Parts: sequence; C-alpha cells; structure tokens
Amino acid sequence: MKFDFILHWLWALVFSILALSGIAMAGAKYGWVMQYDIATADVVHRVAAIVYVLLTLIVILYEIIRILRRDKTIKPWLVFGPSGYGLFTFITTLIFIITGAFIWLFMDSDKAGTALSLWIHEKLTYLAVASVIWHIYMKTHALMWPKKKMQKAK
Amino acid sequence: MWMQKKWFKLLIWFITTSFFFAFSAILISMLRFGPTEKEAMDFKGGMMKAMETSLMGLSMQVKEDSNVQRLMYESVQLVFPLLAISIAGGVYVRCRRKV
Repeated sequence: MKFDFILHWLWALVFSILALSGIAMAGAKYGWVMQYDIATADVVHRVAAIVYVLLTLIVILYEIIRILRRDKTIKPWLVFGPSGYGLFTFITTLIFIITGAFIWLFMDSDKAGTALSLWIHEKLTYLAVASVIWHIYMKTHALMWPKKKMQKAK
Repeated sequence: MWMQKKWFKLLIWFITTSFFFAFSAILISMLRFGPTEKEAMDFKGGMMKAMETSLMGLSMQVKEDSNVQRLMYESVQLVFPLLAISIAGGVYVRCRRKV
C-alpha cells in the first residue's frame, strides 16, 4: 500500500476524532455530543492531538526527503500540497497546532492569550469541518461501492 | 487495488460519515435553543471532573508533587547521554552494514 495513501486516511481518522471530541468541549450547547463527559473528551482530544502533530511532522519530513531526492512523482493522496485544498489543509493544520499548543501550555498563566487561541481554534474547526464536507463531495467517486462484475474480473 | 477492497470501502464510508455527523452536530448545536440550566450544570460538572481525572488534572498534580518533579529532572539528565549513545550506535550499525 502506498505511504501517502495510508497517511491520508490515518489523517482523516485522527481529524474526525479531534473534531468530535473538540465539539463536545466547545460549550454547554455542544456537550451532548459526548454525553457531557468532558473528562473523556479532553483525554481523547489530547492523545489524538499528539498523533496529529506527529503525522504533520511525518508529512513535512516526507516532503523534505522528496525535495532532497528531486522526486517529482505526483502523489495524489498526500495531505499537504503547494496549492488548492492541500495548501488550505497545511495552513489550517499549522494554526490548529499553534493555538492548541498555546491552550495546552498556557491555560493557567495567560488567560487572554488562551481565550483568543480557544476562539480561533473553535471557529477554525467549523470552517475545517465544512471544508471536509466539500472535499468529500468533490471526491465522492472514492465512495462508490465496487460492482460485482468488476470484482469478478479482478 | 486497495480502493476497490470492500473492507477498505467500509472504512472510508465510516470515516466520511463521521464528518457528516460532526458537521450536523455543529449545526444542530448552533441553531437550537439553549443551553438549558441543566445542560449548563452538566457541562460545568464535566469540566470539574476533567480537572481531576484528565491529563489537565494530571499535569496540575505533577506541578505540585516534588517527588515526581525530582524524578522528571533526573530523567531529563539521562536523555542526552542516552540520545548520544543511541545515535553513535545507529551510525556504527549503519557503517558496518554492507548493503
């Protein structure tokens, strides 16, 4: 299986976990998503965030290695790209990581900074989830169920 | 091809559906009335519990526990020598390998 393909779906899975656990913590109106179990949502969100950061580092390292090796093959499944949705994902990912790290590290010491980071983190989540819906709509061919004839032929 | 495997199709259907659930949850939560007093109390209770049992609470306990702090300080001291030894070991193995 291709490396960029695995990264793409691992990325999608982790982002989904982050979105659902994050929504549950967004406020009293949103708590029902995880039955107001904020403790579990918090642990799940933080553990998934660590995996998210690691995946980001792996994708960036993979791109650096490709540049150093002058590898010009097109990787359609790669999460980050120089334009379009890949660029959007890259920028939003960096903002998510920076604001998330700020909230995690300075929650006790910098209340104003944490409040701003939380606001950006939350609003960006809504934008990112909406963009994922659009992304799914544009790539719906991936969801087509294989026909029996095609399977038999293979 | 992996994309044509049924188990894989099922997985991506599951993942993509979860995004629709997330999007719907945001819209429903934003547009509905509330929160009610009970919901606000439940949320506060959840937050209080999170302070005690989650990683947030754990990190606060670490800050207060002098034994854990000493253990962490001593662990940090060991990190760099161990890192240097493992890098040297890795380079040695890489240089010894023929292929």
